[in-house]
Amino acid sequence: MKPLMRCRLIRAGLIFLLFMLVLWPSFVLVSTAMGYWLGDGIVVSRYTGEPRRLMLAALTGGYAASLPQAAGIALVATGLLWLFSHRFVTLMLSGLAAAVFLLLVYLFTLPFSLANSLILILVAVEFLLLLMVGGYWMRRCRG
Amino acid sequence: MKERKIQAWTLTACLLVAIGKSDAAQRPLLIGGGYELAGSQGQIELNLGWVQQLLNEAGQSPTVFYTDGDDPAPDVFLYQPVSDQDGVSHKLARVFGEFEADGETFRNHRLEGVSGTTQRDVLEPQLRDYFASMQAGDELLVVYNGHGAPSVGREDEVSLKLWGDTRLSAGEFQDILDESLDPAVPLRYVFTQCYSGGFHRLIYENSESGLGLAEPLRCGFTAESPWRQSEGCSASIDMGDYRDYTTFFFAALNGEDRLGEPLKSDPDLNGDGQTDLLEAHLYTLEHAHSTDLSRSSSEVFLENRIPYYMSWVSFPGHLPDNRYGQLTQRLAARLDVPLESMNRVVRERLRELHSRYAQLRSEQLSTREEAQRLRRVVSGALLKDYPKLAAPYTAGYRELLAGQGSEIQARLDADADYRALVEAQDAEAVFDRRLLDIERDIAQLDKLKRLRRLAFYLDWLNDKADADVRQGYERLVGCESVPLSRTN
Repeated sequence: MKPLMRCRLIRAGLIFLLFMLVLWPSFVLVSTAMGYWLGDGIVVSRYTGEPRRLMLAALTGGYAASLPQAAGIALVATGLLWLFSHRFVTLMLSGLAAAVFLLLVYLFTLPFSLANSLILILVAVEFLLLLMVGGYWMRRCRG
Repeated sequence: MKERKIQAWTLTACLLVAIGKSDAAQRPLLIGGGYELAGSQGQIELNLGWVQQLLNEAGQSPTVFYTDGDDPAPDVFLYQPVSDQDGVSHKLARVFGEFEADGETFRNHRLEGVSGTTQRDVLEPQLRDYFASMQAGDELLVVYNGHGAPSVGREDEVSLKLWGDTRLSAGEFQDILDESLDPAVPLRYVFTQCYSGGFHRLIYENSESGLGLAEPLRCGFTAESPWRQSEGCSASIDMGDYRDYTTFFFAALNGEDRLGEPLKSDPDLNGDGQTDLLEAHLYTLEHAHSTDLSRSSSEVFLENRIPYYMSWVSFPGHLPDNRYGQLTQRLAARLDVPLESMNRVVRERLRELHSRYAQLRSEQLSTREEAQRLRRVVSGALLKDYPKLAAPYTAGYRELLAGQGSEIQARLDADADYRALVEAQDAEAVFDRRLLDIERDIAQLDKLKRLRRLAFYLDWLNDKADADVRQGYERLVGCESVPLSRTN
């Protein structure tokens, strides 16, 4: 395998892992922040009056449960980055494509009342992650 | 001819089934009372007696287990505030730290038809026998009115606090059911004690894992979650102050409250002419201005079955139009919370209430400390002049009160420190009432938030949940939607 291809594969693998591993914590973070911003603040207060360990269990349980879905989303995001990251403009377009992809997935799997709020969160998460990895990806592998 | 024979046999078989069914009935079991004399408040007795009376009127004869059973020793305590006009002994009780105890009285319970004590080692075999006596077609209704103990671990480790300070956990109760109840007999329950939510684990085949619904179905209602104390259990006998789950739940089923007052709204939501258990629960959620965050088994099931990410999502969208959405709207209107800015308003009010609560609590602690200081000052001065007051169970003490009681009373009445003590002690009791009112207001807002979430969860269930989850939920709702007077 050519060194350039090997470099790209390693880079893609790393980004895939990063996406998969940080998707859930980012989701919780963004959801909590948006909940607060939208006046809800309900995300954490749902656990009011319950032992802190239940909230932690829901957090870690959510992490484990989200991994298969996170892997799917990470795969699509990595593929899009691979295909469209030659220029900054196409990178941004790939972000848009990923958002549309998520929109379709969640509209088909969630009731509208929930997708309505979830999509906002997911697009925000996605944007955050793209910002994090986009810069790294733009640096070319040297063959 | 052959056809006629078949028809005759079919008719006979139908009659036999009908006769068999008419023997079967909903069999209520009432368990209640305190775990010791000091924890056996008069309200528990009055609650249980009222439920017993309602069930009797509904044509069912409940089996009752209460505190020490038929032991004539006192097992109920009542509290009536004592007036300062009641003489020197009450004034001395204030000074020497027996202010609360001065209003307490004790007596034996006045319930009729009590089958036995709730003491664990005596109750358990009797429960086993009772459950074993039930047959296919019977339906078991368990109502518990008493105290509960929390769990530091699993939800099904919360327990009933039974007479003799004994315990029976939700998991152990399920073991008794599994070992002695005919698997064809469904169970409905109403648990009103602190931490009662742990008893919702009874709906599962295995209370520990919480996987798979028990067969036949078990469903019911609890006053609280597994983690919170419930309202009620006051020793007061002021009937107008009843605010526990039983009070509202059975009032809805009865059509009027315990005082004979009309209900605040018609609980019969589906308009079929009778109020079922679920409708009574929804009525309680709407109208109980108490500290309880009550829940039904179907609600708990729904909360346990939502996708993992739904716990972490806020719902800024429109309120779905389902039973919890409608209930949220009605409660919001009652609490004067605008729907369009509900989240913001609720959050602001909660912040304000929590802040007021903290401030009042701090003032109460200061008042308590001041009362203790004054008590030391006044009692010290009294003991200096009347040393016999230090030994209240002696003949010398009785002689002192008989001879110099009026003198001591006059001295206290003239003492500025004593008057300040009375003020501080009375203020402390007022703080308790005000703090309870704030806790109740906070609970209403927490309830509103919870109902709103349930509305979105139910929307998810109706729209996107797997068939087995939807079916499980519907079966529990069906089990809960049974009127009290139903017999098979």
